[in-house]
Amino acid sequence: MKGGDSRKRKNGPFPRAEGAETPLSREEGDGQADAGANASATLPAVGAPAEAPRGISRRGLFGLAGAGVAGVGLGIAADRGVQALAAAGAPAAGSTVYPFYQEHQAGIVTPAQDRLHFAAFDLAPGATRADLISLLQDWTTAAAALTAGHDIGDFGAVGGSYDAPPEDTGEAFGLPPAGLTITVGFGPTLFTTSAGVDRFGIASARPDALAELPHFPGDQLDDARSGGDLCIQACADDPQVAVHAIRNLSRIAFGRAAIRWSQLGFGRTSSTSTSQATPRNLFGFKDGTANVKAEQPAVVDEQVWVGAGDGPAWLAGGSYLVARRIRMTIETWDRTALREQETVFGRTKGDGAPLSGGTEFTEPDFAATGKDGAPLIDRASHMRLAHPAQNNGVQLLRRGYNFVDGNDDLGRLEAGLFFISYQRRPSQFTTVQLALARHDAMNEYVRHVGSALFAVPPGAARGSYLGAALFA
Amino acid sequence: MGEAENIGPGLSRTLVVDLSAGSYFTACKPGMTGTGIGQAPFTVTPSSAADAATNAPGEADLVARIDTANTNYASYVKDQIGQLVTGTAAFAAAYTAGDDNTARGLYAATRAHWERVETVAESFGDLDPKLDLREADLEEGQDWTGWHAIEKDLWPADAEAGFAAYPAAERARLAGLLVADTATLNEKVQPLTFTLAQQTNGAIGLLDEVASGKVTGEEEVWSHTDLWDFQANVDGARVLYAGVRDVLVQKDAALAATLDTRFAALQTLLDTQRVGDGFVLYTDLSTGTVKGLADQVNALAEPLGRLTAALVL
Repeated sequence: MKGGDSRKRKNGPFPRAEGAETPLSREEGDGQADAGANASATLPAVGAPAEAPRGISRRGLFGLAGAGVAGVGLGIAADRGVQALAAAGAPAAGSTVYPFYQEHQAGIVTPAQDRLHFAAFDLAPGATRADLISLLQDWTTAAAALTAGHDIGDFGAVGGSYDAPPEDTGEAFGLPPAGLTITVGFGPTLFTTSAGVDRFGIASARPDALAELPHFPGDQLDDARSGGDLCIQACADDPQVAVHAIRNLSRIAFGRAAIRWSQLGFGRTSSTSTSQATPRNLFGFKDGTANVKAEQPAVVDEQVWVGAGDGPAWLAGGSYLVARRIRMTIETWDRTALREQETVFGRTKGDGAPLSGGTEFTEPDFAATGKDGAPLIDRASHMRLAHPAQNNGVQLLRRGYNFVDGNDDLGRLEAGLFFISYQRRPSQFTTVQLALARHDAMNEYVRHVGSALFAVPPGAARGSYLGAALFA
Repeated sequence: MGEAENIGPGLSRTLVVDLSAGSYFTACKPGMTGTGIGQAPFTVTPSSAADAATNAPGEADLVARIDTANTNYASYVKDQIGQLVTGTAAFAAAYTAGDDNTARGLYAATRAHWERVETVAESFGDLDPKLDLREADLEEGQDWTGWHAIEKDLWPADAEAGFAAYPAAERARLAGLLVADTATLNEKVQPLTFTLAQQTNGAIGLLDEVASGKVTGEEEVWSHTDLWDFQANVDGARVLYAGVRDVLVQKDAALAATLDTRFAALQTLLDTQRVGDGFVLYTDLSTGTVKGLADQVNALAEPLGRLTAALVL
């Protein structure tokens, strides 16, 4: 009920004084708890990241009206970014801010940040529709504050009562916003439990496409790493900032929802903007060369955003998120010959060029053959099977992350790819994954051990909350 | 009206006070003497009609209620420790006599009296380790006495290979110390009085005990009777909460409503694990059941953490 505080505490001993917002943070949340109104506010267009100005407190000045303040300092929750932003010279590293209140949720076409903390939640056994709505409202309020680089709550990490636990857990205190985005999704079980129960009166609003993904050949799914009623994807350029977000959002949820599973990702494996270099996965290959990019608005509209006529109106402008925990048996991979590795991928390991020739961004020529008449890009290669040309033009916006969660009992690195893709229809993923599961030469080195599908509602308007249209 | 103490040079601290309408001033008193420096006047006006009504009962009424809560809690502590003394005598007698079945039957039920007032019992720094130290908490060379040393002897099934049952003399020594240390505890709690903050922080502390030791199965690693302790900690927290609930309803009705609901939900869930007079052994709980209990502990402990700040102004 932490987020509930901020509404209630408005009448508390320290009335909140608005002000001191900078122009660039005007569209961002500042912890104002005005969620609940079904807003029809004008939405800003998807914007370029805003560089926060240096040396200016972006946290509203509040607490000044607090009458009980003795000569002992003021109850101002600190602006996390001040220290970092006060540095002279160019904008401080990590000062990127992505607006929270937008037409589409941030964290999808946003240039993929370096770090991830992803969490799936289940609603509490006795949770009601009101609990679910209040949770989404509280998450929205907190997410707006967090992504703007603020502490959560009215008093933050160190400004509150000395006799109460701090509202904000504090480990991001003094850190810049770090390009944090928070993206919330709804799983199939939110609408109808596996036992067929409509807990929140929204079963009739479930899109037909929001169903369990089919079993793919080779799947070894662990139920404890799969599914979930809700999900939060927190991406940032600083892992501490991403973890801080999930930690505080799950704390807010106690009593209403609890973490079912979560995953840290330490390095991005995809580029979602042409401004980014293509990163490498743990197989050592460039990944996501042919990804959907933010600079292709027509492709994004066609492949990523749910259209107005696609299904229930509440999801228009949203997307579908597929998450797959893909364990890599990297010890085996590492003793594979370079020829085999490149054959599996269909690209060179160094530059990432297709084996049909050229450089990284050269279109692959699947018809090209070598001296023995065999295709230069093997029929079972990952790149060929995943390519839009082999899948009726289907594309996915991939946004995955490398992970290493220590090691397993045999001393092997518990490593792999936490695959995330956004698409207009889950069938896009199913089409590609079915081709891969059946034929991909890479299957010898990977195991899909976790799986989840979520419907990601469109962005929230200022004054409203994520998913509001579902409950209208 | 209120004060914040021990503020070192260069530090700032927030002072939250609940004031009726009127004129006040702030001041700093270095060394807590004199009339203070830097006096700054300010005026308080009612923030809303509802707030004015909430504060209507007045200071005198609240002080009386808090006084009653303090007195009642002191009685509760003495009663529980008194029952602990009686139960410990019977347990020690059975254990010394080699009647292991009777001792095992008395173990969890007797310890419940300790666990209900655990935050008080623990406040005597030397007694707590003598009575309640777990093997994992031992320092190298430290003499292990108290409930858990005996627990291991009574439930040796999970003990390390080569563990030998204690000889009769060791049993007699441990039982004697248990009885004597419990008697000392009983003497120490007799004169105790409790401030409001000690009560509210006691409730919070008991839920912390549940979250860190009981719901994880770390408290009773040999007997696996963790749910008995769990229930007793919750009992103690609920007694503390009930004592201050009237005051809380006046100060923060929403928090009181949340705590009412969450205490009830936790008890309902715990009741599903009852077997006869006791509970399912921790080792027989499924991972899913334990997670459900842990989630419900979090659901209660999070708002309970705000109890002190809501009441002690």
